[in-house]
Amino acid sequence: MHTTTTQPLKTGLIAEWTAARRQRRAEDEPDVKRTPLQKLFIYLGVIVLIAVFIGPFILVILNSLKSEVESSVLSFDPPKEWLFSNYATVFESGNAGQALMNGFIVATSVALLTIMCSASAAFVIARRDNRFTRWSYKYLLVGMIAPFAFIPAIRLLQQLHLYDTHVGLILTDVAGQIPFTTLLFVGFIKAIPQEVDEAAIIDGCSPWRLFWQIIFPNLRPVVATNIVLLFTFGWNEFQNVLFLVPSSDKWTMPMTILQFRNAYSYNYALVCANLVVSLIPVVIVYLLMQRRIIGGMMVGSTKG
Amino acid sequence: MASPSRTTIRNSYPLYFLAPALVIFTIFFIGPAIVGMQLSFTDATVRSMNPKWVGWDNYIKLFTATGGNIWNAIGNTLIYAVLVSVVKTSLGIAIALFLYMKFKGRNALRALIYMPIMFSAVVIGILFNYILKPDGPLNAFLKLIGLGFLQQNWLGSFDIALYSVVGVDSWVYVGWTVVIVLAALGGVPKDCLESADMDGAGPIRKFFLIRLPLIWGSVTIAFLLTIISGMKVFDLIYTTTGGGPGYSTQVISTFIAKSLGSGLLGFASAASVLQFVFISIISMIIQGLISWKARD
Amino acid sequence: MKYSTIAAALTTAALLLSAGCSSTPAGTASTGGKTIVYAIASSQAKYGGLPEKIAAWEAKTGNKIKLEPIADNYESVVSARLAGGSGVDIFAGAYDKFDPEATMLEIDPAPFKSRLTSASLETLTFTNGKVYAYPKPDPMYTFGVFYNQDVFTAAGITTPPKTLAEMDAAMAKIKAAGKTPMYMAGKDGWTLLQHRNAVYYTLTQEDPKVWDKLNNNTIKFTDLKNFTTQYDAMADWAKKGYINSDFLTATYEGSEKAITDGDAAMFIQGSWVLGEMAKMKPEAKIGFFPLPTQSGNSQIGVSAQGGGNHIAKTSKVAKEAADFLQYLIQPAQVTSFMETLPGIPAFNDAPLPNNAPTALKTVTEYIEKKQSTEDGDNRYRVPAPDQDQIALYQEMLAGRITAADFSAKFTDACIKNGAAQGLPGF
Repeated sequence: MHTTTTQPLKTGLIAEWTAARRQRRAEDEPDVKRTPLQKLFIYLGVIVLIAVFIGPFILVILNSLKSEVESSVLSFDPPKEWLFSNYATVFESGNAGQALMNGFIVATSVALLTIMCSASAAFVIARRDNRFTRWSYKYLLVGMIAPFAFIPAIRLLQQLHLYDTHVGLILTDVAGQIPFTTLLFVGFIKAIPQEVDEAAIIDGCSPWRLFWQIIFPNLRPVVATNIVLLFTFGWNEFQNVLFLVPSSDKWTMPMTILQFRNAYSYNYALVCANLVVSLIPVVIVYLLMQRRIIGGMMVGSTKG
Repeated sequence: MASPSRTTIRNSYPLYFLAPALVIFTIFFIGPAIVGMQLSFTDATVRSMNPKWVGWDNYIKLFTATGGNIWNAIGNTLIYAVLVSVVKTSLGIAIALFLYMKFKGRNALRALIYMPIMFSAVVIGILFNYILKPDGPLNAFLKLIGLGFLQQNWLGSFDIALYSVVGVDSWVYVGWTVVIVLAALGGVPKDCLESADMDGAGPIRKFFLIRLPLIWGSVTIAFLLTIISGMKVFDLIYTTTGGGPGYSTQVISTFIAKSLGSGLLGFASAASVLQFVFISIISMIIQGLISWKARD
Repeated sequence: MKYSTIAAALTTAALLLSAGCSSTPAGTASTGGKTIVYAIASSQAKYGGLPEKIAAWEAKTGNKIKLEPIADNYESVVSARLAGGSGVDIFAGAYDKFDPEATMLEIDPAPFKSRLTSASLETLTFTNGKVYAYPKPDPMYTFGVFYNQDVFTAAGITTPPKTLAEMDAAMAKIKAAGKTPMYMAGKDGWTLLQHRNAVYYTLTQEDPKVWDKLNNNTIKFTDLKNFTTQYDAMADWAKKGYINSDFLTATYEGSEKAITDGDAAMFIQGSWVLGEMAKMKPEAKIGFFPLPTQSGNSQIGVSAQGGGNHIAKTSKVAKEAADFLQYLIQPAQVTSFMETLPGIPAFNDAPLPNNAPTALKTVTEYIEKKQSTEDGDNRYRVPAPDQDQIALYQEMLAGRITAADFSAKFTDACIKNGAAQGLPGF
């Protein structure tokens, strides 16, 4: 649900991507000399921020390696004995392997399918201005405001025989993500000069080729940002799995973690190990793409 | 070179490109909303096969038969949304101002603050269940630094559980506001600040007189958008307190989820429609405010 | 084209993969035999060595059981599938959670009738007198107060309390001895409902027809003295500090630990805790007594594990499912379940083992002495508004609502559910 937080962020703010790239602004604080006291304050601030934002993760990692008894206090003390076997237990009894696989299938499908649907829709919305495209755009944007009606979705998916299937889950996830992704793409496609299309059309380019070969490659930066955002969405999404996929062998990571927590509610060490396992893929993706994600957001939001 | 005819151009953007997005969105997003509206006028339960039409019964029950629980949920939702926005925005501005300064490791710190947004609410929920336990690390830390009197049963107390979840939500998503404000700060023209320097304005006056007015537009937008997402909150509450203790952190979406727990499809759908209408109205007002602001 | 081809190929692959993973339709033949979908609450999936018994049956018949553990909202999930007409062949659950006549196959109890204890047969019989369930192979349970005998002795309590007044006196002594008299695990909300189940047992004392009247809404919980006095008493316990102060964050495991370790004296639970506690700390001396009432005329009832196993009316493999459920209740299987986790015997031919916890013997004696009444939880046709009731318990224990408010809101929530269910009289 909360991925919606990142969604509207670029709402009115995206189209400036290309423009902002060309035009340098006072992106940085002007150079200043600092007194030692000011420097001390800066270091204090850094320490506080690091403690607040890294502390919890250190806590989880340390406790994931402790024994059940030792982890029950949840302290920052280093483990007396480093129990890497906790991780083996997570994979054996927590279904982590299956969940990683399911998560990968769901997240990848959601990312690719959403991007293909949204980009092609955005292409027509951005380029062809008539009543139908305008109406379609507004219609899709309803999805950014309205909350998803998950209860009736159960009934609907049942009637489509998609209840409790990955296909049903993926399509529901995609439907929820299409509005925002389309919005993003519309902004970016508008920034590509239309002369580019016209030249291709004169060369006799089919619409299909025009889109995939000429336009789509130009969208690479925003496609990359979107792949990351959509993949992590699919990976983390929890509400739809909770209500639409009751069978545990089809669950993605968050649901298995929750169940594992219920089964081992007294063994903090094992639960922590499970948390770490689920975080690793996301942290890797984030570290690799971090510049792109934050950069994309900052550039996108410069205008406000 | 002759430019292509208008028809050729129009044909290059075929409407069927819209079809996949429109079809999937209609069936899987709008569809449930429509089914929900139908169900909300029936006595459907997960048990019954042939629901009967009951008119506005479910809606009436929503307000009369829940002992005021729906009002409590609506109230909590509003309090939550507003509080979370206030905290995120004020903290976000403070952190952004700090991270706007030049010092080593600043970029790494920016990345760090944004990182929690990438994590699943389930992970965050379990994590903070641990940290905020009565005998957990936060209370231990408070005691250690001599603030033992501040120790709380953070998620288990009727009076502060809601605020604790607001705190958790802010911890996770403050990075988003920080990014927005940083971007806005980057957009403040240099000469404004330089002329202020010449006037000999102090840093605090400089902030309130020059920077704040210039980033105010971004700040309001960030504030209003966090209100919208705050009103839809579900998974963080579900994984931290589950709506409890009692009804103290019950919001509209957990109210709906709980109605489903008793199998009342029609009733839960009515609550769902109510949420839809409620959030849509408030969001439309907010969207209106934003575009009005943006036109300024 | 490269970009799009790869993307398209990947998507197709992923979709196919997911379709392959997920859409093995129920009831299609897989390896020559039939496949039966058995939806089970995930907490019970490994209970008593069930997987091994399934494997043995599969080897014997060539059919396959697809065990689907479901964690949250078990009844809603199963009901949803029943309504959809596919995805479940065998399921479990109390009659009040489903619509037995519409969703369950009627079962001829003749093959197992003579082997069942009368209490067990009673719980399998629906209000219309018909049977829609096979008994479960695992033992039955009851609800009441479980206590640490050493803590009682140390506090100078010789006989378990029978009346609410005696209960109050006992709690005062335990508190004076520096222990927590009553342990409540409010973090795991379902544990609070075990008190409700125990209260239900006491209601027939007041009026033998009470459940019929509650079922057609001619009487309300607030009218029942045995109901309201229980909650007055509980609110009083909370006020006097007889309940652990961290009751909102305390967990189920924590409660078992507190009792076995002797940090707390009592908790109100289902009798399955005895087996679990015996495993945690075999030397702990745990006793049992029924929930005290105002008059002291204590009664308990029994409940089959969740109301027996049902076969879906829509099942296309009903015959095979019946064969499996009958296999599960053969004496050898039942005895094995009893040894793994002892409880109240449901079958005459699988009595309590000699090494069973003593409290279980007490419980079983109560049942055999016919001090049992009809099981309230099984007899009430209104689907329990569990989530609301849990929240109400928490509110009352925290002193935020009075016992009178509790009873009134509890009643309202039940009536609302009855009305939503379309039951006559609501």
